[in-house]
Amino acid sequence: MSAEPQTPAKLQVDLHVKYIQSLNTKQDDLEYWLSEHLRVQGIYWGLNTLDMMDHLDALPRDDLIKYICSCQHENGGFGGHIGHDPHIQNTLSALQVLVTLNALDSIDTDKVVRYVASKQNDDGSFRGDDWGEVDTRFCYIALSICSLLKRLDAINVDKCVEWILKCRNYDGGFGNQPGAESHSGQIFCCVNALAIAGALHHVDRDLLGWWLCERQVKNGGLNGRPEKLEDVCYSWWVLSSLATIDRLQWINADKLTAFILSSQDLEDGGISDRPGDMVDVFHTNFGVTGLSLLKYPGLKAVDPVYCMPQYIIDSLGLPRLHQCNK
Amino acid sequence: MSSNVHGVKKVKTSEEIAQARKEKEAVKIKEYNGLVSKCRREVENKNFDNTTLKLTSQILQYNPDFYTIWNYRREILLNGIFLEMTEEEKEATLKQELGFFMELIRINPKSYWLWNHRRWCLATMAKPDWKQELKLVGKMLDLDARNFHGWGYRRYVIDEMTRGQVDTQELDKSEYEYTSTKIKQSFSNYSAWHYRSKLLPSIIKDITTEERKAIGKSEIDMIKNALYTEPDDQSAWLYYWWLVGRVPKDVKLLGAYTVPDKTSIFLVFDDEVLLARDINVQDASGQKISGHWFGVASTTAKQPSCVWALNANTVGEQKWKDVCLTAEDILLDSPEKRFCVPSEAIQIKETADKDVIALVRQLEACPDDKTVSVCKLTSKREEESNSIWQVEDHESLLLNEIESLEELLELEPDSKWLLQTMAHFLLQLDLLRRQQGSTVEVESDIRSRALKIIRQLSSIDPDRSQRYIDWEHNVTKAPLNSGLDEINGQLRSSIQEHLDRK
Repeated sequence: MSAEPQTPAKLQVDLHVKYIQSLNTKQDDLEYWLSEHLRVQGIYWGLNTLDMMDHLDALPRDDLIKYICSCQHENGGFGGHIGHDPHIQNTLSALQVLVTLNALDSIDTDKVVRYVASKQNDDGSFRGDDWGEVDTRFCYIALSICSLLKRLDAINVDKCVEWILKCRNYDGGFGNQPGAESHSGQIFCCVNALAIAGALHHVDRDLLGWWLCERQVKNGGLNGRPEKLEDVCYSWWVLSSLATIDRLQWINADKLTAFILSSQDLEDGGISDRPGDMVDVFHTNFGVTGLSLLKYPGLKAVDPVYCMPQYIIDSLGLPRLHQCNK
Repeated sequence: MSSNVHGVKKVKTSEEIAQARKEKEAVKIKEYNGLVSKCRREVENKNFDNTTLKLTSQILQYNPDFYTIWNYRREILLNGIFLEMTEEEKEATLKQELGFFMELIRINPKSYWLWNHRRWCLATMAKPDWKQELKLVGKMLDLDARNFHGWGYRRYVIDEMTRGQVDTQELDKSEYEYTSTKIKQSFSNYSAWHYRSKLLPSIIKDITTEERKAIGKSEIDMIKNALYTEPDDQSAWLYYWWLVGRVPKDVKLLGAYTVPDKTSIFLVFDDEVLLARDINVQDASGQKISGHWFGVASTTAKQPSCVWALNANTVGEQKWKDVCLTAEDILLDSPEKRFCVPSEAIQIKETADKDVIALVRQLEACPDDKTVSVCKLTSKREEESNSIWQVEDHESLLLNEIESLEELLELEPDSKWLLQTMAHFLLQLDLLRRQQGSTVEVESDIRSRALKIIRQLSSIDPDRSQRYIDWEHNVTKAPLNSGLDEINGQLRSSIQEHLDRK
């Protein structure tokens, strides 16, 4: 990569489209095979980025639908790739892809809801799969899936809220389990799970907003925890949490925009965790959705709660649980 | 997300080097894919034996995040290998699994799946050696003092060690001392400060007032030590805020209002609230009036609002009488606020303000389908007392801390953490005195000093200037009172905003 530019380039939409299109042609790279378990999530990241940039048709719609459907198991859950075991995280990604492609009718959504509901524990928390890992990430995923399918009635939302509140800390943030340290990724999950549950009043917005805006470091990037390195993906986890609690103005938007833009690969497209690193589709998505929250011109508006374009959430008839995109 | 996408530098390579790497990778790809398809075949054929187990080892050495292979591995053990083993042999096999974890964790210390597997092994063992686990996680935290998998694992081990015990205080105490050690090694160890906050409530349980005072003092000493050493490190400051605690802010109902000949009534609060359920409104004959409650100008569905409206079902001549509110009716948007429950029923007053009447007419003409009526959430916030160890009265604590911050301020006049803590403590003192009904002059002195600091912060820390502006605005905005002019103003602006949104 060439030397870091002083003034960051504009968002390289065409390069990013090409980069995302190229992802499925890298069978020569070992990484292509080693990341197979992330395929379904990767498609969501790629497709969501494309939709944000108004290039939804850059990937073959019918092939994607066919592929996603072939990752669904008898029990309703989706694996990370064909033949991979079902997991609640891949299930959300699969659903997001199908919602984006307006193709929910190609699967049995009742089965998905039953799968998600079967993962709830008596204390309200959710397991990620049959092996039982428990994490606030899975609460968000369960609520997001059931909300997108308008089946929040299928799970015990109040119990889930109760459990999430056990993960709240003195800094206003949330950890992955009761007792765990606050982490921006988990805060994204908990704040937005509470938003979906209609329980945002449990969030101390000024206190949490303060902690979140202190994630911005001198070069404009955001970190995930105090005294850690900045990373483009926190442009999403931190920023969307700030957006949901209506404190988006508490960071320097220009500096963050410049940081994300300077993490682009100006030759081959894609966005990396920080300037000069290898790009990947995960950071490409969260860089672009972050830019959308920052009102970068030419991008579609994103819904901070669902991490999908606002127009899709609106078209599902779901209420806006935040104050962005007026 | 796999951690191998973080922090990998992009290196420009020549054509030849790229070609050579490709050839090398081609061999690996062939081997890896061969292993994966063979392993799948064996698992499909239910060959749950050592040969298949070895295949999973080889694949996981390539890719410790391939969760399906971890699932296979456990299935092979449970439904194959274990079936022909004695308890001792099983235990030995599981110990080998723990060794396998150690081999892989060095390469990828942030893999969720690896940690999950270790927990499964220990849960499956007849006699897991938890003390050994505690030692192990201690070593890991020596290598990376902020690894949150490590800290999470530590809590899990402690939970297992105290499982079924009523009194966990002894172990909590040694963990508390462990956090002291970690914090002394590095004052920026946020993870250790955090863990300490979770242990302190247990440490101060069932001890005498004198002992509490001693612990309170040693906590403050440790914080001061950190603040003097690294005044720009946020870790100790945030712990300090928590330890000193916050004065709960009182939220009040200002009144209940209606306009002539309309079917709506309005509850006006002096801060944003949520209704937990339908409020009991009675007519002149003591009958409950039912209808549709919604937050007026509630910024989004299910969000708190200062004004709540009831659109009554029975249209016509309502004779409103009064409103009864209980503590269970109201939810606040911060654990640091508390609702002052009115001691008696609130009489519903009529407002004759022409603008309000016109606006209410408009509001009733377009019934709201989008606003969610009432948050049906039943779970209630647990009682939290941040300064749980606290025995001195809050006011003298704040005065002491403000005095000691003055000294540090002479050394560090531009430390933003110090300045905002000073502003916060001053405003807390102001709030406390106002709620106790103190004289105006003293409070305004304190408040204007705090405001001066907040404005100073805007220029010291321009990236977050909007936060300081909002902070200042929150301090300076006049509290709503129950004068009819003000209530009419509030109703006008809320209803107007509500209508504008539609």
